[in-house]
Amino acid sequence: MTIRGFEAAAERRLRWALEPRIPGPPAGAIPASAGAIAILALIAIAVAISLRTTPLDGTLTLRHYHDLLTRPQALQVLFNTIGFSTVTVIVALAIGIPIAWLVAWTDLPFKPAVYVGMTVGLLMPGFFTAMGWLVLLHPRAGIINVWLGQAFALKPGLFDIISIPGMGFVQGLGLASVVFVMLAIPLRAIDPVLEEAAHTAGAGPWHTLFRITLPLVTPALAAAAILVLVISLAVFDVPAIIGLAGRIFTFSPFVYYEVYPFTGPPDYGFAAAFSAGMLALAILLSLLYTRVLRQARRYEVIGPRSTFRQPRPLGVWRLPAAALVAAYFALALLLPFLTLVWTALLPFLQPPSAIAFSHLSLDNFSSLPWALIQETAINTAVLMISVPTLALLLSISFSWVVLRSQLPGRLAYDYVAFLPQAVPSIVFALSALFFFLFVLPPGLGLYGTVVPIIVVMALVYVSFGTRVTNGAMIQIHRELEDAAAVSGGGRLVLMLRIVLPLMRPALAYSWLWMALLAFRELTVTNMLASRSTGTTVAVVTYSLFAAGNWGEAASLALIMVAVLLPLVAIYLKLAGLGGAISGAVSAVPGR
Amino acid sequence: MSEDAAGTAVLAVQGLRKSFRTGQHGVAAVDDVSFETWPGELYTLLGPSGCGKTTTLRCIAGLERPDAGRIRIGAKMVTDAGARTFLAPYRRSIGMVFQSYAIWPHMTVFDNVAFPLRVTGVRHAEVRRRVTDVLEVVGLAGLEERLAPQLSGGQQQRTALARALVGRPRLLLLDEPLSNLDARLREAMRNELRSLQRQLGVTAVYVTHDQVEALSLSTRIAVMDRGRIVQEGTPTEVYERPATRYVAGFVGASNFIEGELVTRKNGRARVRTRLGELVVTNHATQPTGASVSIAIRPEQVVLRPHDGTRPSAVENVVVGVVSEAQYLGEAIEYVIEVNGFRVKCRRPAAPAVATGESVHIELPPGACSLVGAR
Repeated sequence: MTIRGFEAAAERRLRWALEPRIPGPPAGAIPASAGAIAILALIAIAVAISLRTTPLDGTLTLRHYHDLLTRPQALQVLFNTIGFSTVTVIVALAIGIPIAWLVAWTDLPFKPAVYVGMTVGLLMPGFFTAMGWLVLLHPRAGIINVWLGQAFALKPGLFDIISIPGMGFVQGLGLASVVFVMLAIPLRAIDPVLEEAAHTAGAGPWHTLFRITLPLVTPALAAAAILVLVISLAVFDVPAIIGLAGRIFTFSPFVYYEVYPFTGPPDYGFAAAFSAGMLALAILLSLLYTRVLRQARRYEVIGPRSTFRQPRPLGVWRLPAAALVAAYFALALLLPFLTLVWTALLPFLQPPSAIAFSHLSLDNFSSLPWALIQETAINTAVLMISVPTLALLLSISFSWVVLRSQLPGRLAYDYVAFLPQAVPSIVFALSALFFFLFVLPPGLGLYGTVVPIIVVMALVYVSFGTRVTNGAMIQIHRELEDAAAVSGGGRLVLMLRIVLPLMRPALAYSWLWMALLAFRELTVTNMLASRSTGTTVAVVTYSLFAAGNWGEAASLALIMVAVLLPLVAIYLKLAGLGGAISGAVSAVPGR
Repeated sequence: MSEDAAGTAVLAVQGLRKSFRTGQHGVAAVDDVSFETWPGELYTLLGPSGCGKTTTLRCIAGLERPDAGRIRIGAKMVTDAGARTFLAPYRRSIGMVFQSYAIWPHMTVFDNVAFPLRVTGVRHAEVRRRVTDVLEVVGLAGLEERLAPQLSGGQQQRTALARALVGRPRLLLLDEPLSNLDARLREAMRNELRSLQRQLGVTAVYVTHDQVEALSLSTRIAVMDRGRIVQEGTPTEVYERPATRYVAGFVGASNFIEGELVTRKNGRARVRTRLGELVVTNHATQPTGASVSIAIRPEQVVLRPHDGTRPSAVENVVVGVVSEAQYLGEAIEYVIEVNGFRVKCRRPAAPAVATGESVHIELPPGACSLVGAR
């Protein structure tokens, strides 16, 4: 080869290396495309069912939508859902805002403990808290109501948890941790110099609060409120556990009981029409959410950060404030936990007394359906490993397409990946159930296994996973990849040796986070698990409780918590407190 | 500004002290700082990061409470730690430009600038007139409706300046206002800031770590080191007559030649050094026999080819060899070795002297300053 030829070859090689990665249709886009199609298909199936007289071979009709608007039961559920969500949002904000403020801006003691508590709160299954509170405040059997009745000769049912305010209260306790997580970081990120500038410009404390501080906090507050609203519109655990006892249904439990009715055949069309309506509402809210969140982010980063916010001294209020925060954790975590311990140890429910203490035993644990639990424990473990793995693989592929490829329409992938954040999980579950039951040939034998659950949950978690992988991939400087390419690394080498190792910390903690969510998941699993096989421990717990076996349900729930807490500890160690919280920001628990 | 009659300081800082707790220990950030600024002055606090200049400024603004000392703005005592007087920042009639500009991101340029007027209840029409005027002055006319995130660094800087000036404050405080701009913009803004301040006649206290900014902008400079003012004077005084080795090293580059003070009379000091006995015409305060350093700027070292002719000057002339020459465009920086000692010398690029050449260097006695030994 002549010198000239050599130079030309070297130049060609360099030019190839410096060209944007992935010029053609890349192999990396295949999983993302499959995932995107699956997500869109699951939404389309629900809409399709809602427009047919009978799900499989019916003709087009708007009958189900007509029913939706005319059946009193449907309107009742709609009102219930709105009322429940309103109470939830109010309670969650009323608790979450002050605690976030105390942690971000004051010298509240034990801040790390608050972060730990909030992370545990995010991961604690909603059905756990709901069971605890139902046992405490059931109008007739509830421990507190019975005790009040005995002690003061009151008529039973002083506090009725089986009501819209009651359910909203319990759900709000749980979602307060979401509000906290959504606010703690933006509050810390607001540069105090903006307030100092107002002071030097002649504005007193009130002026500064109303003209500067509050407007700056508002987008983050609004984002937190909308997120809590979206979650509570779609949530299953709490309203299902508590509402079932009084047949008070919100959206998700209602859909579930339309598909698995107490009597008669399932009404897919009606459930799907209701789902389609909620779908539209949820997508609308999510668009609003993205807008508001973008605004909030914009307020966070403006100019270089200059001043460190001096924590505002609480003075004599320091300990009372800490006590209030502790009271929240007592209501949201400790009290339900102790109640379940008490319930688990008793043959039948009664308030604490000398007689009650003499009845304490471990009978509920030994009478648990251990053979079933063994089988479901295996299913649960399979879910915990495969769901996060699949979800992360999909997420990496999505991020790769959106951030690194030249694919036309790549931004649409990001919107599709975010859809499961908006769409209630029960809608995905409904469509998937229909698909695996009726569309796929029964010879495949997938229905009744954990496969449908894995697929749907992985798709749902892509909305969370892509937030993490997007964030991690954005932080990898393009030149790190270019350097690898110039050194002669192919696309696969690039991915395996450079990109993935750099993303590893984020991948590790989000994997574990999703494993924990999968462990406690009830909405999708409950819907897709057949009655006999393919269920999880969470579903068994729910079924025991729904069947009235409170003692056994409580003991199984405690066993679940005993498994959960060490994993949460590992997660906190892995992610660190700050990472734990920022990792949790986009996680959507309890759906 | 009739209140600030000539002869009265606009700002008087007296015995200011402030320490911060870090763990068990209090670290003195400001340690007995006193100074006064006069009407129309631009007074600069100059020093490296951590020297206490920003803390001093924040005490003046009322954003920090000093542990001790008094601050008077105009006739008003705004801080008196002894008498527990402390006026909140918003009652001090000041304007302040922050290092990060602190433009409120949820407001337009107009609203940002109008804020100081609106909070004091200025009428609507008057607000519009004055904001329009001040935006014209800082060159932001036409950008009134932009939101802060849509502004460039220079535009944010101008907005911050307009906001600080619009209320016609008694005192303008500037905390490293140019440090976040790129080099070219910084120079342009520096000139603009200077003419604006002179034109408006506003008294300003300026904090910076950049000696070029300090020298070119200020009427007077206070050089700070570890919480104290080590020298105060006009830019010329500080540059040409550095009082300490620290000032000589921080404000511009200096050669330091160690030696021993031999005699001192009639304002002429003789110092025995490795380069021989050198004369310094500088008001030395050190006793004879003391170890001292002679500080001299590289550009004040005179360089002549050693061509056999006798140099014109008689004092402070030594012979050396050019060991390095670094071309800087408008100048060449030489290193001359004299008896194993390296003297830096900066000369115009032409005529050039080659390395290895033997040269005379002259250290003019008037350009030498006597400072403490290392």
